[in-house]
Amino acid sequence: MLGAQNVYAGFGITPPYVRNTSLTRNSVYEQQILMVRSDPNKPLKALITVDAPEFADWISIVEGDSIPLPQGETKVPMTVRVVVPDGVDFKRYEGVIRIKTAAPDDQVSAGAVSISLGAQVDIDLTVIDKEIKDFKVRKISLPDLNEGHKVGWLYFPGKIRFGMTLENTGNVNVAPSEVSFHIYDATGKVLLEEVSHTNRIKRVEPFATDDVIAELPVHLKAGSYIARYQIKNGDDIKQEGELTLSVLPYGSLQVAGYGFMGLSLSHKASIILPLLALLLLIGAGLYARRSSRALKKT
Amino acid sequence: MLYNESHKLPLSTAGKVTVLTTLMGVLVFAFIFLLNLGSKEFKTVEAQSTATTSVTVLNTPPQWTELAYEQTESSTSTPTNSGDTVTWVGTATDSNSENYQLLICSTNATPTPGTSVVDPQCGAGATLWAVSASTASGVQASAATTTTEAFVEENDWVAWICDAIDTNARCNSTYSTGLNATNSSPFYVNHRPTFTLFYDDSPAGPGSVVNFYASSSDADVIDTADTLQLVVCNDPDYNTSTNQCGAGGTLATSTLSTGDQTASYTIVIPTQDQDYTAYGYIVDEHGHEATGATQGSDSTLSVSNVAPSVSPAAITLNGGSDITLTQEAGETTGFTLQFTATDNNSCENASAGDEITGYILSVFRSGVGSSTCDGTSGSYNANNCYPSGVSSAIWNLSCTASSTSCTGPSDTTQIYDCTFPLWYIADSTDGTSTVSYYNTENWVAAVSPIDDDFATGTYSVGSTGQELNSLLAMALNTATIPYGELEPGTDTGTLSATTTVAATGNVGLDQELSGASMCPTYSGVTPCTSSATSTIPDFSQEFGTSALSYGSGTDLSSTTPQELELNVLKSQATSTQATGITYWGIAVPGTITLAGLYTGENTFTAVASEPAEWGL
Repeated sequence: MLGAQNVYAGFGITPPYVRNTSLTRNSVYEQQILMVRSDPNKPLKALITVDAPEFADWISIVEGDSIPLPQGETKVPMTVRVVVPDGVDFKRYEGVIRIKTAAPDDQVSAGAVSISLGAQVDIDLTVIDKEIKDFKVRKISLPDLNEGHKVGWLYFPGKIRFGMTLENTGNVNVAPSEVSFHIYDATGKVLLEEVSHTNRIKRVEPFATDDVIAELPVHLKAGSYIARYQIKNGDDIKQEGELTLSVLPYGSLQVAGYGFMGLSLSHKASIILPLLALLLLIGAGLYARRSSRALKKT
Repeated sequence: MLYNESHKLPLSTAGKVTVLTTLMGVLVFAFIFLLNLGSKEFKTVEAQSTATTSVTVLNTPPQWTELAYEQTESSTSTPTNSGDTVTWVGTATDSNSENYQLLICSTNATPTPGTSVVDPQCGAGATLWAVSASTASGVQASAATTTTEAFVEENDWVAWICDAIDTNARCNSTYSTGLNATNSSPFYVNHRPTFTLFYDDSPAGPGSVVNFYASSSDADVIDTADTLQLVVCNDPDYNTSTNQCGAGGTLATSTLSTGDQTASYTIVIPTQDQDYTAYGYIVDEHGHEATGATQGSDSTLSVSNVAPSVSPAAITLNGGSDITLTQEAGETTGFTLQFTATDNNSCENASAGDEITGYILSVFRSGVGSSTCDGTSGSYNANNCYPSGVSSAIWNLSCTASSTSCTGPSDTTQIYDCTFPLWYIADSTDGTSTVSYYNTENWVAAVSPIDDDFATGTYSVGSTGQELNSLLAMALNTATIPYGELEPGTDTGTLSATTTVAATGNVGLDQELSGASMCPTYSGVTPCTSSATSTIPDFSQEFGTSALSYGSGTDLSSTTPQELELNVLKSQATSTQATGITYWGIAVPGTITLAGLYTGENTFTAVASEPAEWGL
């Protein structure tokens, strides 16, 4: 008697592809694929084979070619790593990865045509010979901030900490070239201040997604304002929009504000110039002392 | 300062001439007498023996040593506010060292001297403005009058000095009208403005301009009409000394002008929606306030409720990450949505509760649009539109207001954090046209915040969408392939056995099929040997998309997976999946001699079909 039974209720993967169109020679690219099961009532394993005749040796599975699918786990990740060798042709490479589920001990039901489920991952890679410097803004955040404050004659402005989640969609490290704010009154009609970021924004590695911070000084008193922001990549505006900026009275938030770098040029000069003068005086004094000693010796 | 040229009197010079003339006469008479120019006549008298002589030496009036003047300027530019005092000072000396009084009258009619106990009186028809106390000779005298609203605006004055003695009291015929332009006659009285009505044009929302109106006037018109100003205070604390609102602060002030006043106030953002006191005060250009019930009355500034809003940039779907479904044929939970609602009435209401109390929102594929996926229950579609209007049994959206976001009445923003599930059929938008039907779109969220007065904000669509990844998933819902019992050398005739696969993800399906040879001893680690008598080769199984005759199907292979264009549609219902049937047949080689149960293993590999074949 020949028979078959449904062995597994269901199996799937997401996303069902490995795709990158901006690889360069020596690029390393990783992509995670989730293997999902709707009814993981018994353990299985996923057997992975790469069918990519031209470039199979570039492809590896970080977790190995046999990945356990434990009982009770509805989703198990697998990470496809692509390491592009030096000297490969600049062109498109296509292939597939097949994932097949099986019992951990490879046993099948006796006297039946057991059915194992699997899924196919399409591989679509393109190796190019040019640098692409680009990113996608996936998320922004604008937390409240303290207003600026004075210490003596020095005014330390409030510090906007504009958070951005960037996905590097190019193949070189990238960060926004400029993050700028046009701050209006609460009605959005009167422009009060224009500022750009003052810090060095962390660069995101190729194909990675990371959180970065742009710091901007604000000289406005506590209140609610409308901030129109722009995130630029060179001349390209990657994202712009409007947010509510809440400036709270100084001391409302336990966050660090601006230090010396936040001071205006004149305030910086008011510190630096006296220090320089003092140093010059000390230097001149030392020089004079040394000269007089030299004269005495002679 | 108006210099009162027209009110200077020339009598002072004339008086001097009179006195000089008199003195000259006396001197001439004395001269003649001393030179015996009249000795003949005297001798004649002497000849008549002795005679008694008598002369009455009159009391001389006090003399000015410092002409009288206004101690504090009272002019058109600096008038004396009604109720305030006008003070005159002047100094006189008396040859008898007797006391004197400074008398201020409205005209130069000759006054009547008084006594030590009766004040001198102004001349006929003149008004007595003020009279000083009896003042010692040589000491500056001071006379003052308290002005009232009954005074006319312009008041002439003439200052006299009179003896303050009982006998032969006299007033100096010379009078004073001041020393210079700033302290001379007349004095001016500044009357209070009239303030009859105070109101505003509220209600108005934060950021709007409210006008306060005052029906006001001022009767003072000399030189130029007095201008007025409306001052609106938060509290009834207008300070008449500083002419400013007190600690409660100033809401609005009008510019100085004549007549009715209007003062504007832009309601700050944020301001809670409620009534606020607004006390109006009218004051003239000289700092003289109006009186009466309207002065300091409350017009009640009513700040209206405005709908909250959400900026498109303040909507973050799924934390900025791609949306990945992980439950085949079910709901994937735990997706997130965060939005920051802004309310110009503040995030905190006047009762210290939440101003922003609700929301209408939807999560949808961008191509559907916010006008279709409008938040109502009728727009629900598990493929592409998840509106908050549906019951939680259908879509279990859960949103909570951040407990730390709203810092008080001066804060406009409130952050909401939501979680929600999506069904496995939610349309994918990732990849290219070969991967997803809606690859040019993405998933977005739209939000309308609602406040405690049920005002609903604009339905804003988030500016940053997220891709929803393809979920390639398949389930087998066929228990057996009923090949049945076959004798060696026979086959199933047609591809009569079936397996049914269901698309349990959000893509259409094809499938790749492969399978091992069958034998009684098969296991995954122990494949069948090539035995003509006990192994049914892999290619003995055939499959197809219909019940073809055996031999017309595609041979199964253990080494080369065969793709079957099953074209299972993308599932579009949550409860039932799109399915595809694979038809199977098998032949048992005639060389098989080993009877019994044969074991094998076929692999069904899900392959995403072309999006054009998803049935969308």
